[in-house]
Amino acid sequence: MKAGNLLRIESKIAVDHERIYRAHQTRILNLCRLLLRDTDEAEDVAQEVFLRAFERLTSQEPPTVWEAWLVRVAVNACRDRQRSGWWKSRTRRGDLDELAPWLSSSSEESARTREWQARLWQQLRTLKSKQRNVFVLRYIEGWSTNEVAETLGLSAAGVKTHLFRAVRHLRKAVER
Amino acid sequence: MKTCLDEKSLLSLHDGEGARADRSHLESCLDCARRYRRLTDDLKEIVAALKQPAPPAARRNPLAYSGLQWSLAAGIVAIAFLFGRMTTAGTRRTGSIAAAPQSSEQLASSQPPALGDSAASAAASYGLYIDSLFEQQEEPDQNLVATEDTWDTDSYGL
Repeated sequence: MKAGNLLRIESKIAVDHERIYRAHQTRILNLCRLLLRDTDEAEDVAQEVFLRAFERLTSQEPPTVWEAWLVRVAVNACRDRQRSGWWKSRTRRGDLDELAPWLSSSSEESARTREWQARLWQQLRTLKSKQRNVFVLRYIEGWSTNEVAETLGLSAAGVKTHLFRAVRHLRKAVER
Repeated sequence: MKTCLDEKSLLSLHDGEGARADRSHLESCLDCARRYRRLTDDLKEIVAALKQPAPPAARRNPLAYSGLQWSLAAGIVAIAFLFGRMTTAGTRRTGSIAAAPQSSEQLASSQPPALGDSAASAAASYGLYIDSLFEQQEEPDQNLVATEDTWDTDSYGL
């Protein structure tokens, strides 16, 4: 009886984890990639995030809103990665992803759109970590200024300044 | 024109955080309204593009990654080589100063030096003692070779 219950609980946890993974995997991976600029690292961090989600499912009370919890864990994990000495040295060496040249497109308009998108991603790559983090959380994730400030350990005025610089930098890619 | 809003103020207004005076200026100034609209459009476009999956990333050159590892390995090998050379040179130098045994047979038969010797001479003697053991192993046993030859020729009647 007890063994049967245990099995049922384990299979329920596995099913829940699978459901959470399927629902949020793309979003978390994209967020990590935006914050880290590196596909391999982003995949590593995303895996770490879902591992923590699994631990959370098995050991503690699960969060009521998984999405917010996952995003917060992912942001913190990315920040930890950015703060490590190894990551800083890698960033200095420019040892990060290069965007692959876009494949030739059938229509001229589509080719132009892809070209400016590539330029935009390139601009995002060259943003400073704080500016990129602030921009991604504020505009891509839709957090409020205070939430961003609290999470990143900045003042509200600091967030606005970083945001302004990030926007100014990214708009250069839009100027056609 | 002097009171026109700067980009930072326009961004604050876009985020719903600007001052009331700035907002009223925006409503009355055509130039600022045009710049504001452009900023809004650009941001919309940027955010929409970044919400799309990222473009394919070119894989990094693995050589760039392994560069550090290779130089580290080369450094370790170089240090090990230099250390080995220095140790050998030191042993030989001190060995010549110390009273060295006359022949390899004498060395092979000799016992390891006593621990009571001074450190330099003890190290030198140990080095020579180990060298002699190696030499003894490398030298072919003439008696054994001769015996084998004899056995071969005898057994085949050659």
